[in-house]
Amino acid sequence: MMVKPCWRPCVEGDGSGSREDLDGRANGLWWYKDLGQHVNGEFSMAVIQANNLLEDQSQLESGPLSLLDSGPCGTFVGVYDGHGGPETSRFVNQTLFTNLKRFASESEEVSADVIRKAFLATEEEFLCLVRQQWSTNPQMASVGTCCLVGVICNGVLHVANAGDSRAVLGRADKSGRGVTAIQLSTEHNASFESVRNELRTLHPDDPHIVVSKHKVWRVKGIIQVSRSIGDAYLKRWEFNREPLLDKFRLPRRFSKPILSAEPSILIHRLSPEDQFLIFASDGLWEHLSNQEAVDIVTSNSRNGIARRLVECALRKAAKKREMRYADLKKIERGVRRHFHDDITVVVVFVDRQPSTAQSTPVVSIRGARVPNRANS
Amino acid sequence: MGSIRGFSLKHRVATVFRRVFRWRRSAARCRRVEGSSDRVELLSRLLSWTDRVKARAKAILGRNMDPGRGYFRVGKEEWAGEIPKGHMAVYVGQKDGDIERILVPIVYVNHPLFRDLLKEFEKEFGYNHPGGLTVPCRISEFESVQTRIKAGQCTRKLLSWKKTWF
Repeated sequence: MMVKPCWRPCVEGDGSGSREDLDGRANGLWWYKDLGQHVNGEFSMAVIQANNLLEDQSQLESGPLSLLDSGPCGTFVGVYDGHGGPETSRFVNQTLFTNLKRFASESEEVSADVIRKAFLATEEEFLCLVRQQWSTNPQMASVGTCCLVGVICNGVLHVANAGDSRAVLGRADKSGRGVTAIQLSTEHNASFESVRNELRTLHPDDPHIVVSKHKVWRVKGIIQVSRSIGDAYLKRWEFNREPLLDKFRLPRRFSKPILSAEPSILIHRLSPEDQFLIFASDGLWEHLSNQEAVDIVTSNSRNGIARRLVECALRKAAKKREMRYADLKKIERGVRRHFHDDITVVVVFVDRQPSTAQSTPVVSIRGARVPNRANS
Repeated sequence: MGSIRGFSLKHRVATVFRRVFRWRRSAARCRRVEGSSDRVELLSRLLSWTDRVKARAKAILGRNMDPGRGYFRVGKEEWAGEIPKGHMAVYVGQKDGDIERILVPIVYVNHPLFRDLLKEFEKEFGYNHPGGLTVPCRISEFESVQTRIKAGQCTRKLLSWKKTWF
């Protein structure tokens, strides 16, 4: 009887704990919020760092989605997978939701157009920042981020994506026997033929718009994603000059942006069969299939489910590299990028309509906001 | 420590300690031998079993381990399935030459010299390893890096030992 409490799972982040529990926990290369409440139900978040500086950023906002009290209410999820450095993903994490609220206030609703405007305004602001810092920090022109956003408002889900992060819906079968994975986001990675064709159509004069090197397709032979926020050197010709590093310089002048910040947007009316949504950066999906991820969420308890998904991906990564998971844990950040990417997972359970959830407090949580440099 | 009334206190204290501990140890041994309950018997059987496992593992590792290098070479069948704890497989070789699969201790991977080797891969291929971790260099170069890492570890051990005792 005395040992019983030791066997209980560690419950944290139930909304009543300390500030650390509310904001999530950092532990070595991990950051996690095992369980929290949003206006439509519960959520779980987890992040693992592989890069020397964490390039993934994420956020969950629950409550008012505009600047007006009478405006729309709901849940906003953002997963930003940075590349070249953490600057753009951090910037988007600070700016995108504010921009969305601004446009939602103007039109008094959340729509595909509002989300699109928020993406493009954030992009514009970042390009301005690059221009401002050009003389002191020209490398800002070579950083960018993929951007995946989900908004649940009045029973309607909007999924907007620019880049190769992914959102997957877990929907109960009508027979009640299982839960099926349905991918909601469109990915913009040159490994897909449709993306390569889109790029060739947009840039008919450039025979080298997509190049395959070592069996990996890349836009201009440099980058795998075809849409992003940032990457100013591939958006505006003005940044293609000294002192930008040679590897980011393009030999051919371009007038039309090579990458675009325009998101692909899907609108989906949620039904009672729709149980949960998994938003994750490509670090997760390179190890887990959509159905595998959905099965893991279905067959385990909600508390710490995001962390469990990341752990499953890490176990697979260890197997691929012919080592044990216990040994993968000993690999330090930086060199760890050779074993797996930064991984961010947000699992959002859709339990109720917001009309019944007036009492739920406003939630604003950012993944890995606690600097984990001190611990690693 | 100085001597008090003509004899070394250090020596006396050490002797007393040794006697006390020897007495305690032998008492414990007696209890174990005398104990007739099933639990004690089970424990002693478990202990002898772990000893046997340890001996067997040592025999296997002793046969395959190259003591000078601290890793396994391809062709030794015994480790083909299972990766030993604390190790991982690394594929070493250049594009046109032979690729050799080598087991290295995990601690080596975090070493700056090993990181430098991986940076070479990163420059050309990014992080897209074809499966196992690939190190694009000659075997001889890889071996020299391993020797240097090992030498560094030995020096560090010696230094920490010195710090403790002098």
